[in-house]
Amino acid sequence: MQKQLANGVKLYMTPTKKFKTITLTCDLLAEADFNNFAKRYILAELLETNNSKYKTQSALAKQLSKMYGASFGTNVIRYGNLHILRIILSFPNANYLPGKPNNVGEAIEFMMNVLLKPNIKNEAFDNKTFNIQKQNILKYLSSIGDDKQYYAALKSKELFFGDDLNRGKIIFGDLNQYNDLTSKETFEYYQNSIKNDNIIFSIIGDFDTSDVFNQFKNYRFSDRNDSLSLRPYKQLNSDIKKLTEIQAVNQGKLNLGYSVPINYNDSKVYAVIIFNAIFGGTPQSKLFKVVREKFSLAYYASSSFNAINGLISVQSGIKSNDKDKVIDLINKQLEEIKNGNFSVELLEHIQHELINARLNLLDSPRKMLEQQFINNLLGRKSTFEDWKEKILAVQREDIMNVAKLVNLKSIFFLEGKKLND
Amino acid sequence: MINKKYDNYNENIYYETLDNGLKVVLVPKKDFHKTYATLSTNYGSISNKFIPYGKTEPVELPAGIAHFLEHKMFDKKDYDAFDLFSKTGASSNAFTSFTKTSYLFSCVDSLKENINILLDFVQQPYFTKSKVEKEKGIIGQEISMYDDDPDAVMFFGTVSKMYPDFPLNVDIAGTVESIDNITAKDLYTAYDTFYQPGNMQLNIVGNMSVEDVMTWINNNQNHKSFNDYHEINNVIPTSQKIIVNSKQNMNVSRNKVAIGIKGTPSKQLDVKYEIGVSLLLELLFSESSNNYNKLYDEGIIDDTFGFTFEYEKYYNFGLLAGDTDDPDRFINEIKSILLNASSKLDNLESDFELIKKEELGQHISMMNSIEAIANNLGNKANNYTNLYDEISIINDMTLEYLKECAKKFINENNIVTNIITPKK
Repeated sequence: MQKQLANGVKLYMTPTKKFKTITLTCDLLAEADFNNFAKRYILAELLETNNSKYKTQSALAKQLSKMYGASFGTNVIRYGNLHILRIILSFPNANYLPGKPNNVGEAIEFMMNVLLKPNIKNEAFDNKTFNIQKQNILKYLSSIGDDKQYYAALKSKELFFGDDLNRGKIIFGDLNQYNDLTSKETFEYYQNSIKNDNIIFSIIGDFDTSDVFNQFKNYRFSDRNDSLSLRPYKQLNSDIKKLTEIQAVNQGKLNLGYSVPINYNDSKVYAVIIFNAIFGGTPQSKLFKVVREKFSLAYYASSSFNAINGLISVQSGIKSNDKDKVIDLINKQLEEIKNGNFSVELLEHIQHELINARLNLLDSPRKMLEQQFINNLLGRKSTFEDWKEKILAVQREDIMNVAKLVNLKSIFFLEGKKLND
Repeated sequence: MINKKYDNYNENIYYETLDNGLKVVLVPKKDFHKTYATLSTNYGSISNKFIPYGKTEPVELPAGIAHFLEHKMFDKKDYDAFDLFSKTGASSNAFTSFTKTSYLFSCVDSLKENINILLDFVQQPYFTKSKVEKEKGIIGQEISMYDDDPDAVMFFGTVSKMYPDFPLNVDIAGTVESIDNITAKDLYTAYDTFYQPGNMQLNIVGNMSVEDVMTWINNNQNHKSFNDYHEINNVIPTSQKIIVNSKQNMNVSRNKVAIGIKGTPSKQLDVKYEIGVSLLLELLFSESSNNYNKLYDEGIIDDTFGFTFEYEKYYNFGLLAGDTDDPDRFINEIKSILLNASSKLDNLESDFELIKKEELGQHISMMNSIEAIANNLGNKANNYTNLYDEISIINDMTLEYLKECAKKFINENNIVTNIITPKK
């Protein structure tokens, strides 16, 4: 059920008795602009830490405990050219709590305090909070390389997107963007976001829709431009970009970026979804069966497909001196699919598995909300049945044909070398 | 079949022990699409010395064998169990912990077929020399991956400092050297001993008819013959030592610190104590505690800070860890909070009530996830205490009891510290 609270501000309600919790999200949408990455991330952290109602982190945490351990957080997410700041709050259905408190109203109020009443002093975010969060972000960014798998994925993305910083750069921004960032500037950015960002509220669980809608109407939002939309990414014709970084680690991380000129709004996208599952997306895939099981070269070797960016990324952890062998082997698997070296049975199993995975989303309130959110972004009205039909309609030839459009564009390698201590 | 009803939460749990000793626990959830099943054996990395089935003398097998066995269960003579699940559109996986190995699948249809696949592949071992050798490369890369992961290094490193003379002193997966010694014969020895139905439990949660599922399971089991159940004889030493302060170097950019608290092992598991200590740690260190906020505001801890309590038959420990710029202060502050805990608890009456509310709510939230339910149905060792039972234990918890827990659990002589510093 969809309601409009103002132009560009919407409320989606999904009443269901299936879950024992109620989940409420607020998404602020803006065009991804690398120059704003640091501001948007620190804003998310500040909104999560405290606000004018709960002035300290401790007061806010205590309130969440009072709400029976409500789980609350903010984060920043990117879908192609869109940059989303998400606030999420999930709490138990009152029917299962002592005294059955009316906690939906309390939760909406909590969410609105987070969004609309930040901890502001003199036209700036509270300085103490700002400085602590800034320091924590700087520490986090400087230690991001400690998780090698994550680090390799970030570097690979950067390499693939090259000059398109808005899509390629780490979403938390660069360290140096924080140096001169002030609490005043961040407050200005906040005000601008509240005024101009598209806002989507979503709620799922067992609640009364008219009560919830009435409560939302108590908060005034100004009309704003509702013109934000996703833009597919078109990879330029270019040579393969290569980057190798050497570190004192045991395992080499090999991350490849392949482009495919097919996006979410293309009818061939279903063939690419299945191509990816056959290539490296499942334990039945070529990468799992060949790189891992047949040649024992890796513990993990898999691929994933991003339909907004037309990007198929491959990640694997290997012995450093196996690098060339593994790249050849991965490319060979692509050739195999182009040449139709996969069975109809495999195709059918994968179709079945993908359909089941889609149904499984409906068993989790968060995944259901996420799916709805994406569908709305994509302007897709398709139901599960439509989606299923399209997946089942994909033929072997369709997969071979899209495989022919898949091109290797980037190779990032984190090479492990034993350095002298 | 025993049926426990939890009317407050509209839940029903069914228990059955089959003739061959296999314990079956079923939780029907009719609104869900998915069904999730785990078949587990009480066999993990700490059981590497034991008296084999039918023998009288103990053997010691290479470290990492339980995990190795888990990998090899899927790989049959002319097929892979993964593929059988995939053919029905199900997905499958497995994991090994210090004390348990679990095989699992999740499906939305073909439940009967998947139950048969699960029981059959776990109950029909097939190990050969060449298959064992082939796996060493894959697990070798798994071990390398963990060796580069600071969180894993910190966790296993700190546990090994609490238990230097106990089989917790090696990672679950073993080492590249130890797994190199594993043979097909070793795998059979371990399998025959620990994979007896009487040492295993099948949990199924999700969309199902309990009667049908029981019939399918019985039919499957009645077609197989099993050896008589022999009691499991683990040879598990009593740990006497700790290594108090440790430091290591790694390719990281920030200091990482952990504090381990080694508990006294109890012969009989006591779920109340387990929950009591967990609540105690929540009360002292959760985000709503004054301690957390003081240390956070002073920059001693940050969002990476976290803690856990692991409570098993042969061991139990608490672990608190995080990144910090000042490892010495981190250690001193946390230790001082721990050591003064029992005397400070009296002032925390209102915090305690909040923590109880929080735990209650989180247990209710867990009921949304069929995986969480399946993983919290209890076992023989804890008398099948499940997450629904835990709620009433939490409700009855008192601050006075937490004080007892603090006195029993925290002891200056049982605390270790471990620091990972960046390589210069």
